[in-house]
Amino acid sequence: MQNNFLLGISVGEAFAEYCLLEGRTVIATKRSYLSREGLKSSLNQFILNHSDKKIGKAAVSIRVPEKLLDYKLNGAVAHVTTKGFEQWLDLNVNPLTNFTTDKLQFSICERVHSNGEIAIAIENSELEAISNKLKELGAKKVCVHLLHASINSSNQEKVQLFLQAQGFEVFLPEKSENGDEVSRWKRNSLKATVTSLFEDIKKDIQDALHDSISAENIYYLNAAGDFSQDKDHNPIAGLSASYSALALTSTKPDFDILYLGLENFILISPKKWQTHWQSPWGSIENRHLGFRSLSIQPTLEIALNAFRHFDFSETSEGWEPGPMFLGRGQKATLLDLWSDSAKLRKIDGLRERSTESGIQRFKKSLYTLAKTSKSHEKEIDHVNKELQSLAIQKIAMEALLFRNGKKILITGPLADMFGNGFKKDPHSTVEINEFALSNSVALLGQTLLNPS
Amino acid sequence: MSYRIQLFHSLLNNFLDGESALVTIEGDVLAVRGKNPATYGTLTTAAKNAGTYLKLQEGDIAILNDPFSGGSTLDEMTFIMAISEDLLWVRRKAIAKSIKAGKSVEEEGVRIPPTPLLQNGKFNAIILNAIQSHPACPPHFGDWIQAEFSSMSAMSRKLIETIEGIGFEITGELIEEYLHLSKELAHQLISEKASGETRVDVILDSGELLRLKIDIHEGKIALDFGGTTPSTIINLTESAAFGTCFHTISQFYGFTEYANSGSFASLQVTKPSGCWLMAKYPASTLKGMTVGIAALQLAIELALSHIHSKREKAPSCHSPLLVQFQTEFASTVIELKSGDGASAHQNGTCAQNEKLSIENLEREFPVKVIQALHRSHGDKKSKFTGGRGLVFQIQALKDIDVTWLSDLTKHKPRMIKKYSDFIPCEISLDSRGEMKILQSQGTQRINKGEILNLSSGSGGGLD
Repeated sequence: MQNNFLLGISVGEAFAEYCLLEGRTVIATKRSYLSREGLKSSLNQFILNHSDKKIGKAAVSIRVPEKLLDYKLNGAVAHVTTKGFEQWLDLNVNPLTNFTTDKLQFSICERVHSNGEIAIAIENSELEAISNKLKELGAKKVCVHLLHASINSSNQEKVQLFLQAQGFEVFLPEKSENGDEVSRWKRNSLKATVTSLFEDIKKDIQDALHDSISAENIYYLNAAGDFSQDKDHNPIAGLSASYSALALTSTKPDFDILYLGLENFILISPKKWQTHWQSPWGSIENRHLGFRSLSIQPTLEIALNAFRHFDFSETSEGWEPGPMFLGRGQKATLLDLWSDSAKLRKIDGLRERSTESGIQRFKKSLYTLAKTSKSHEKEIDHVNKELQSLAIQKIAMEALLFRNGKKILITGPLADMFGNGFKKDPHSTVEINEFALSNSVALLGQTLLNPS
Repeated sequence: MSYRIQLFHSLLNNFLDGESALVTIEGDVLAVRGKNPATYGTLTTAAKNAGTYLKLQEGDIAILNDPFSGGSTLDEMTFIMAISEDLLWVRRKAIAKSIKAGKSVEEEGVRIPPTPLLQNGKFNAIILNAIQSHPACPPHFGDWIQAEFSSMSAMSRKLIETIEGIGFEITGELIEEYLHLSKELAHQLISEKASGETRVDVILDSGELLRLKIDIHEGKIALDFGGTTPSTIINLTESAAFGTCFHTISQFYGFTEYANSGSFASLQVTKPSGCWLMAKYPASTLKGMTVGIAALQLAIELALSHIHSKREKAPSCHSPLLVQFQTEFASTVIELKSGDGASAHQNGTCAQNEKLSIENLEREFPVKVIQALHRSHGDKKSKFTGGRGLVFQIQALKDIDVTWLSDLTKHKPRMIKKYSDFIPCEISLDSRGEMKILQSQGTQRINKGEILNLSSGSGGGLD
């Protein structure tokens, strides 16, 4: 008899969600605040709490934080590029977001023409010299970027085999129809940069599940809505996987989806597939369902704008240390405006983490800002209410302006708190689903991994 | 607290993308957005002309590309749509980039004055067919126009639905308050910094003199171009000149995001009649819209640096290097941007490539790119170096026609000693080992085997 229990896992930057399904019915859910409870221990505990259920498979979505795609935080990867183009990726990004250091950029004398003809073949002596230099610098990972390798990969294969034989981990741009080498090479560079971090997260998951689910029954979701096993999975392809899952499992397929999560406010267009991700590094090849990250986000800092009126800044403070009401945050954020709300405090992951001292510090910071603002309103409770209205109105405004179709489904852990901004729109529906991401990853897993 | 102002500003930011503006029928500019400096004057002129002469009703759309009616270059189309009976949305998009500099604007492409194409929900096919029959009309023009109209109509409906959906009322009072706050903001940001006056001369290779006297006083800036000469080959329209002045000034002081009638009032621009900053039909404007704008930006930035010694910036090379490759079947324009000047505390930003793919270029045209890199530092002595330009070496695998337009400000303006000069764009041809520096603009057949060396400009350094 087919095992009908499936575990859905959605790992974000600050929170992880778990959802256990029996068939398509939710049996159990949990959210972990990762800076307070590690991924491995919290997942392991969740499994132990349901050890009476034999879970057949796990469907996993991992969203590596964008800021950790920076090589300065993850370690630089060497690049071997066709001679004359070793700076080509640097020429295509802001200097603050380069893909690697100058020292780890190598050129190789080779050339393939646009018709596939090899104009210059690879010399072993040059490969040996590069390999020796890489070893001297302690490099372990190498991206190989050769022009027109997608048409004739002979030179690329030679480089790959040589470097692999020398013990290096080699990353090649994936085969695709995309004729733009810049977006392919960028994707490859980011993948190489973040591989170690991704491996660490996967290991935590595998270790947490090893008594219940073997590694070959853990499947990783990508943004195109496909599952693959460990070795085939590209972490860049998984960046918006959970949003794709939300859209692909929606009970209202004609609706755009506004996901109001603790980490992000995202508008997803289920009918709009896109081939490129507009990232901080420019356009990167990555097939995904169209989504828009709203300009208003849950941890935007509250600040005075250019007119010296209360507003929200453009920088998300994130959850480390998080909003002030949790006790450690140093900056007042949007979510702090609801620190008195029972609805916010009962959200899984935040329960019993709110501190009175944090709430008071937040109110004091609002008061300090009010003294220097040009707003007429100085009474803090009124300021708080007005900012709440502004936040809700901004969310509603952006969602209505950028929806692809006519109708919007509002979901996520904060849907209940913010949904009333849409009450005047007859085409909007609020669906309370606190564990929307892990639920949808699990549902998609049941559909694709356990088809009945 | 008037959070309605914040919501209004957010609505403008979200709705307007690319080169675009929102203007009331009465002529109040609510917001302008864009990267091209000329946008900040030309879009509003386009709206004014369309509003005055065409009497657009809600849902109607007019087009124009005529530089003398608020257009820019003829390869960019400006759309003016009446979102409601009192609000116009102006938007500009490039059709197919091309470099066609002639002696008059009529030689640069098909020139379209303000023309209503969608009225009362009906598309005017007769006018569109007339435009398409022009020999210089780009291919698939009609399909492209209709797709843009469809997109604009949909977005306009969404804007109205959004405003109704959130119950937001945009009143005359709200607009007035927003413009007033923007005006005060510009005034305050200018007042907080140094006052003074100075004069800068920039001479173009073609012989035009740009003379600028700038006076910053009590939160307002007066730009007097008295002494600027008539055109030799460079012509810039008044609206583009104003837009460039505003954009450059507002970028320096930090209020570009609040570009509207309120902040426009902080600037007063005076030009002598007949100078090259007041181009009249049928003057050719392509060079003005590229090189002329670059010269104007340079002059203003130098003047601001003279006055603000603590916020100085070495001169940037604003002029891009434009190169068009053309075969019998295809044409493409490569735009190589230039690097920024160094500022008081950091190196200038290096130029970046934005759209070019080497593999796609080599697939579509009989060329081979030999190398692509940042230009080497010209000035190694400065404490802070200028942003480096881009270098491309491209070899012709078959004969191919190339047209280019580059920098016409090789004459260096008088600089403060601690600046080093920016390095202008350069284009040269290597023909069987013989190197020849090409003129700043031209058209030439590049023969098989010859190598074109393209270098965009690098910014100046600062000690």
